[in-house]
Amino acid sequence: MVHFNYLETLDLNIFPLQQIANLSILSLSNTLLTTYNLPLLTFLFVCTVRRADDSDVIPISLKLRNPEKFLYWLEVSGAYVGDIAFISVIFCRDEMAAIARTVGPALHFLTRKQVSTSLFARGYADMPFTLAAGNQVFYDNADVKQVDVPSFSGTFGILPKHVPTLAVLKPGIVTVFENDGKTNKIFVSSGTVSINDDSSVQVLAEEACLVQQLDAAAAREVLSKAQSDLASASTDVAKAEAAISVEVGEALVKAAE
Amino acid sequence: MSSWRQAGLTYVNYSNIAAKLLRRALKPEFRTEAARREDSNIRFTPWKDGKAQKHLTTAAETES
Repeated sequence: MVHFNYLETLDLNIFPLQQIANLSILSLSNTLLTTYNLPLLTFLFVCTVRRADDSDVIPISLKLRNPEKFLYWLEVSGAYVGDIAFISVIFCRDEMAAIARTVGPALHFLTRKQVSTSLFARGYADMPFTLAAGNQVFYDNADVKQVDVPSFSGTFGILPKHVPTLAVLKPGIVTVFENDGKTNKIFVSSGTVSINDDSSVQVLAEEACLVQQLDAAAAREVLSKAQSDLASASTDVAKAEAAISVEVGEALVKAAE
Repeated sequence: MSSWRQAGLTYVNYSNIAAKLLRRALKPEFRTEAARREDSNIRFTPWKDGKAQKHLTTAAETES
């Protein structure tokens, strides 16, 4: 169909959409291939976007806008900050190689501008962290580095820009890694954790205490009583309650050590 | 997790049991304050035929 002789590959980091709102790219996202026909010129832009840390190619939609002669704006939707776009521009040989040479530098200029602004792009967002129990607030929109929470689907760590999640807590230790390097361990009986899309995290516990406030002997007593309850339970409900108590007791003993 | 769901308990029940046990496992100096949290301020009075029946207490009151 056409002959290609000029191929450039440009890597550029994806910025928040509002920052690159007037950057338009034609899309090739593992399925879609578009050419943009201009008078006397045929450009083929090829772009794939992938996540920074895995090799998944993500589907994106792109648009090319040409507000001025020799000025092309590339618009990416569906990508996130930190993703990497591999953009190739293929110019058709038979058409206006001279214009291609002119446009090429313009594109370079665009991308270089974007790349340079990336150096000043905002870094990781804060993670306002709130940890509250029935009668005590441990953290109130505090700025922390990381939080580990014990949930029913396993203990997981929360960093800024975690995927928005809702989870219920199992009895266990919430570990808070504060900005100055200190680690704070708080035993939580049960509750919920919500991670919002603005990176704020709320852990609302039914009952919580610092691990230093746990009494190892009392915890062992709780566990042994629960185990004997389980052995002597008759009804389903009583058995279930006793099983819960055993679970809680084991977590208490483990934390109190 | 599913074992208590099958028995008809909810996460709220689970949470209350866990909280109660945690309060019992605290060091003695924290236990008095914790006991205060356990008390329930709710008393249910069912009415029948225009007369108040025996007050019902919540599980927390019967336990402590």
